[in-house]
Amino acid sequence: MSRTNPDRARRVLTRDEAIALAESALQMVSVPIDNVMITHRAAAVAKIVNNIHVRAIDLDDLLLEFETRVGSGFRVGVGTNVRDAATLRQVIQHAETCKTPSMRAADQEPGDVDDPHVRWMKPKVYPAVNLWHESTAQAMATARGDTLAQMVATMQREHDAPATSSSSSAPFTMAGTVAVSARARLCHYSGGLSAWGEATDSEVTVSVRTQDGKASGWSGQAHRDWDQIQPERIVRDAVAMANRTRDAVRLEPGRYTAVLGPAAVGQLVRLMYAWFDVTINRSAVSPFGLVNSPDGKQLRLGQRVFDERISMWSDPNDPLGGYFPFFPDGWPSERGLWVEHGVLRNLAYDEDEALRRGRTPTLQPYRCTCLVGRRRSRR
Amino acid sequence: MESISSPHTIHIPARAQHPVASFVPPVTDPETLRALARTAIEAATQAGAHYADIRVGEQRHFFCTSDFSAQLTITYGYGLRVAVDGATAFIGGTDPAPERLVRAARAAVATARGLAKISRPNIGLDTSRLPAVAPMPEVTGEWHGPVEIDPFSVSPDDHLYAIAGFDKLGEMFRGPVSFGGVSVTWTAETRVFASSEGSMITQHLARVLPTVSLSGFSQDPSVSNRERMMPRMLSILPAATAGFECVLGTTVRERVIQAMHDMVPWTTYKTAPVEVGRKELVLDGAAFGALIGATVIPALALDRVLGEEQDVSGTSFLAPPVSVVGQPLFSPSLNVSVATGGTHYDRRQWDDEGIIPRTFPVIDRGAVVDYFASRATISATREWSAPHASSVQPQGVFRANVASEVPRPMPGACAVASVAAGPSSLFELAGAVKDGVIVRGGDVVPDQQGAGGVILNPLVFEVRAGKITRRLLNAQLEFSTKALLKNITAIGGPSTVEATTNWLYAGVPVTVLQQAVTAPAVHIQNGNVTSAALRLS
Repeated sequence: MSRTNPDRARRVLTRDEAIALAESALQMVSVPIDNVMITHRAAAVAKIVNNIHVRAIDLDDLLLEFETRVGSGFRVGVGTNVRDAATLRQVIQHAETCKTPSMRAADQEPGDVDDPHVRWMKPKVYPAVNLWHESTAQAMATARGDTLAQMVATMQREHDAPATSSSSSAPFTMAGTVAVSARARLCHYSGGLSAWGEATDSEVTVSVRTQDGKASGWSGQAHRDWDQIQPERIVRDAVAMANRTRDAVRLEPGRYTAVLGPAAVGQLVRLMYAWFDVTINRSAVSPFGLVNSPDGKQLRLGQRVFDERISMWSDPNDPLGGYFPFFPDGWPSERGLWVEHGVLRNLAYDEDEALRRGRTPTLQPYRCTCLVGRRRSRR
Repeated sequence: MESISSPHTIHIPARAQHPVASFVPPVTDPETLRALARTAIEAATQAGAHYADIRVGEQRHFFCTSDFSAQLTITYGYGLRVAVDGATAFIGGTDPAPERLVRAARAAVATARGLAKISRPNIGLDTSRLPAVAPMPEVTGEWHGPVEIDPFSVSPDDHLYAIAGFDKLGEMFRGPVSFGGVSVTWTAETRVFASSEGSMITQHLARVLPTVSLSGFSQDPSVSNRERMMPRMLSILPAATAGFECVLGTTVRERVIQAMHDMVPWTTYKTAPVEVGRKELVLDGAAFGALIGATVIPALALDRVLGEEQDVSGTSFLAPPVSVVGQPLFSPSLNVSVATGGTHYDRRQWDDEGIIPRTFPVIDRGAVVDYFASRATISATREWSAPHASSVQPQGVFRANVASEVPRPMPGACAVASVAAGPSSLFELAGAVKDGVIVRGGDVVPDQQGAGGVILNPLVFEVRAGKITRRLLNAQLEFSTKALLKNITAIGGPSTVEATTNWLYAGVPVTVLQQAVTAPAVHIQNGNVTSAALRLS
């Protein structure tokens, strides 16, 4: 059984390696297995706190899941993180054991071509995306120390700069995080569906505060391409924000006109993802549902729900917020529009809900990209 | 960045008569885990680590619900910490191959060494003289958690039979209260700790995390369907260290029936929109426990106090310790302590640094007297430790949910002390209220320091001249933690104590720790009652 080479820059399986692993596992199976899912994730994180205490966290996680069906729609699955042949064989045997307690012969071969679960497994077409950046894959091995050193030096320069009237009091202490990750996923079905995704990701955040705790600033940036990350700018922005909050005064309660920065808007918007799920909008408590409406409509599709300057959409190819072009189970997930100039245009049907209602799964609200950069608005 | 510690889940048939354990490979021999730990420690030491420790664990979860859902999760993991020249590196992984651990150990040492170099020239301090992890004597041993009936030796059918019995009780109940359901997560783990000091510990841990809920239905005909529902989480089955025996027997069932009976009077009140303003508060044990658990307890974790989490989960309103310890910040009737031993949640013989957990106070008569420290942060406590503080010695509170995650200084269980002769019910506490509200349950959302927050979605009842008059709709509470806890005027007796479970998130990648908190009901002056209806307008 193949393993990834620990010395190469790439920390997760390639497509060929993942398919080879899936195929070899399927050869060990004595009963029909619907699918093999392989997820491989790796992350490298480094932190500095209080200017001095540095620490690093490295994580690596591979998961193989095998799934089959018992009866109509009831699925059993088993997972492992071990890739040697003997363990795989043992795990798959246990997956087969899971099927036995209540199985009937008719349950073992779900061959009805009209069965949505059978249609599900047929090959699909996916939008092309590019979420993998070699710069980030390389950075997992090399960037953390250099970047932290650069950030510390920048903060030190900012701190040592000639004092202005507003920055002459308490000195700063900084916490910074540099995180780089890679992820690969293969959804491999016996019926022919094969979805492959690989993505790199990175983020750098800095929090600066005065040692008396009375002023603080934050800045951060996330991007799938490490080359787009600007650590020095992030530190400068955090320091500038901290300087602006010195000598802060108590805010009296009341109604104010507020200006939210992009990160704040993102934090607000990311909590909205569940609103776009069609299921909750059919319940009693829903933002886009109309309970007891006189004309019998249940949903507010086509109605103004936000200010007309607001539009929200999801796009696997969004340069700031791209994501795998398939749902976790492999169904294609394409570009979609939620809100257009304040008007609600679509709601989300996840895989199960779509199958129940005879629809095609459409969008994933929790991968919504809207208004601002991706990380602050993506779940 | 999302959590990278992924569970490996098996959806098993909810109806089956084989033991749960028969659905997965046998438990790994502890000696195999110990050998892996030894391999990693040796590799780290040979690579030049000044200190190294490792947690290796195989963890099994069995989750079942009273509506026929069951799943089994196995999580293997290791978490290796090394210290070189004052810098530390942590590597977590899920591949149990010995060669993988050797590579991980070498990589961790190289990373720590590199990080140590970058901090010195920039900051100008010689960190090589700083001990990254306080030295401790070698410790060895093996320990089994107090489990009478191993839940993994029981079949899914028997699990279902046990908890579905609660549902049956609910169905038999006649009245404006329905039983919400039960779910239980059972955890069994073999966890090994080893260190370069020669320590080698094996623990067989057991935890149970139940959720039991019910819902009352307002008998006021004027309310909408949504407002009619009065959901309550029950603490009749608290998070604990226990085996299958804890869901058996008649006591738990009697508590279910009692809880449903107790809910009935609360459904009888007329409803009215809340009027905002400052009022006297009576918080029930669930609301007060959730408030303490979301504000004070996270703020006592030294990683937050020292700023290590300042760009992640937050800092602490109880900082800096030198100006906090011993000061009368809160009401002198408030006492909070770490609870260990017995069936307290996540009981261990040693924590994830090889320290024996101790029971100790953190809030004593309204003053902070201690923080939660690890061996990495203990040196910071010397400058401010009060004479009776325990944190000059590690306290045994360093925990990770799974072995591959970075541990945090956070005890498994905390208790707010009740008053033996205190009021024995919410009604008795409310008897002293002139114009105020009773607050039951709710979700506490704190700010990033724990300095304040809001209690969302509680059940709130108006009290006038000692009598409950109406149920208030859309009420919520905004609070400043110090001011609220300073204004405690009475603490309830043992019969008002309820248990809640905290979910504490921290770090990058995100880790989560569960924690049990028990607290009595309290009477508080001058609380700030606001309206969710106003917030939404």
